[in-house]
Amino acid sequence: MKNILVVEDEFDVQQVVADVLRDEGYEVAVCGNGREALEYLRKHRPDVVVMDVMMPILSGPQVLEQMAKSPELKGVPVILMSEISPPESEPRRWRSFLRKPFRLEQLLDAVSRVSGVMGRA
Amino acid sequence: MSESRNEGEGGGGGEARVQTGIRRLDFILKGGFKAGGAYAVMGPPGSGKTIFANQLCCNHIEMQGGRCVYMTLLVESHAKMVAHLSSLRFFKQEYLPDRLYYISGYQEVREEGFTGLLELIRRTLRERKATLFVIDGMESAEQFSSSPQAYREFVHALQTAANLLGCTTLLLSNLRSRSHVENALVDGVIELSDQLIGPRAVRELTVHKFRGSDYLRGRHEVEITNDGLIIHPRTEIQFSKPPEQAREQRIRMGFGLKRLDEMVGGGVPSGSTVALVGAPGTGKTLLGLSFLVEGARQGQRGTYFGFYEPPPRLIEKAEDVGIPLERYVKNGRITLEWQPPLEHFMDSLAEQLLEKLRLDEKHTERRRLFIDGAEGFRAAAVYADRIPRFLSALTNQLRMQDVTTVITDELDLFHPELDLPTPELANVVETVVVLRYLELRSQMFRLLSVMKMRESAYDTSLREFRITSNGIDVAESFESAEVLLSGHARVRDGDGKGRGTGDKPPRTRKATTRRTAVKRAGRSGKGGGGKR
Repeated sequence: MKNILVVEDEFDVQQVVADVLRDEGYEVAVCGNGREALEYLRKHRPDVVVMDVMMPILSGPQVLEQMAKSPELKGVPVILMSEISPPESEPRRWRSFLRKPFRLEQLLDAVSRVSGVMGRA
Repeated sequence: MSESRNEGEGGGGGEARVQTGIRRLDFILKGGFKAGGAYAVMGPPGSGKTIFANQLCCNHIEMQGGRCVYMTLLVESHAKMVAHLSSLRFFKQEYLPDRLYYISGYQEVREEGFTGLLELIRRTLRERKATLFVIDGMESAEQFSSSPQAYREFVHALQTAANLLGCTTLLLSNLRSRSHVENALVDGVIELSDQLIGPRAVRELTVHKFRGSDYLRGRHEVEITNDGLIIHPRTEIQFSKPPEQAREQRIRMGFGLKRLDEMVGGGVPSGSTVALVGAPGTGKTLLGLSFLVEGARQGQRGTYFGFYEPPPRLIEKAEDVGIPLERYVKNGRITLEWQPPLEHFMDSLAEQLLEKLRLDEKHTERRRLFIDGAEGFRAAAVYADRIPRFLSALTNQLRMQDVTTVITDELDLFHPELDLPTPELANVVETVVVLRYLELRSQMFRLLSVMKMRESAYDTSLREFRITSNGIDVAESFESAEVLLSGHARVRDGDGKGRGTGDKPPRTRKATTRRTAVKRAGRSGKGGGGKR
């Protein structure tokens, strides 16, 4: 079973995304901000991180920066999600990008592609 | 900018202010929010709170290079909010995430309480170097308070932290009572309302409290357009402290109708206001247009501001009776401002008019204005009892700008008395000219009289006048009117002399005419020359 970490400060979005992924058979952990996500990542290594950009304490790009500096987290694939497309100038440290609001199929497709799982986990 | 302007910057009393950039709100707040202050913005769903706060953020970034954090507490999702805001002109996606940063604090307050939420806010504001902070959905935070005192402490701690960080804070919530604990603590309270008044849906903004600064009290109309919120401060409060009269040198401004001008001593005094009152079709619009054209002939600039006839119709109407309006419209001497008769905001109309005239201030020539008619403002009024104060403020402002104004008002078509629809108009204008119909032997005649004229002698006689393809012809004397009123009708020649009809009516037949009693506030109009 694949492990997914959902990092999202909007409580309702976080819960819906987590529930949908659980329904699909993934094991899901959730964090509400970037700092919590980094703390989680130091202890666990999920197969995929689904992460928001604008969050309190540490933003999505700041977490990605920290992950890039850490050899054990460098290879963890990240799906970034945001209301706006990331600027071209920003280093592309994510595997896939989801523009909010996204459809259920888009989320599941991105997770299955990035985790290397076709269909259910 | 002086208080008599409606785009004022206001005086900030030397303190740093966060300009809202929302049209005329800075004028209402005398310069904007105080930097580092905390302000409650409350209103029911749909009143425009979220647009207001986002517009403030974007304007703050644009105008003052600010940095904003927008925190939601179980309100609209960020994705939906951005999608909705994207259609508004002030919203620029490039501000996200660097200068405008959306976060949610709901999970924090739910799991960690106010202590956790305050820590999250403090850290985020410091990290983002925020100068403006918005919390949208304060009622959600309040749901988690164990007591009113706990909520009071939270709001107080939040204000203290934001103030320490030099961050101006807006607390958005649904409508709550004026005495709510939050409102007692913050530096200012703004209410956005949205209510049905008759068939109209009316949005308004009211500043209930604003510590340490003057502000414009009362309700101000709010429009939400593609530009975001636009506020229309009440005209009568905007100009409550008019400056001294601008020009002393007054001249006479004629209508271009020899005999009418003679009746008013060569014309009405410049900078004064004339009311032309009469039933539909009596010739009010044509007289007003004649007034503008006469000014244009003398090199003066004129503005038509009307509601009912679009410019092409107006030009056609004037040209049909020999008033050469088109040439002066084409050369820019006269401008035609037409407001289609839709649902308007009364103060917005006044702003349009005054701003248009202000643009012409650079010209040194005397200016004339023709407002066709007062009923356009009346129809736009949400509160009828404002009309007298509104008209008084508007006409005062026009005097300040040294604009000579003719404004029409409509009398009932079938009414035995001169019952002014806006009685107050007679009090706020210097001159009242009445146009009326007279029915005699299956024919309609038109009569004209000057009912009132301040600071000038004037002819009190009733005169017959005609509208023909050669123009407007006012009778040379009152004899024709007298004949009509007596029932002994005679038809005038072109030179104004009467000739018998050869069909003398019996003495017992009288012409039907309007009674001359004018119902209006103040003293009834008396004939005779007024003071010079």
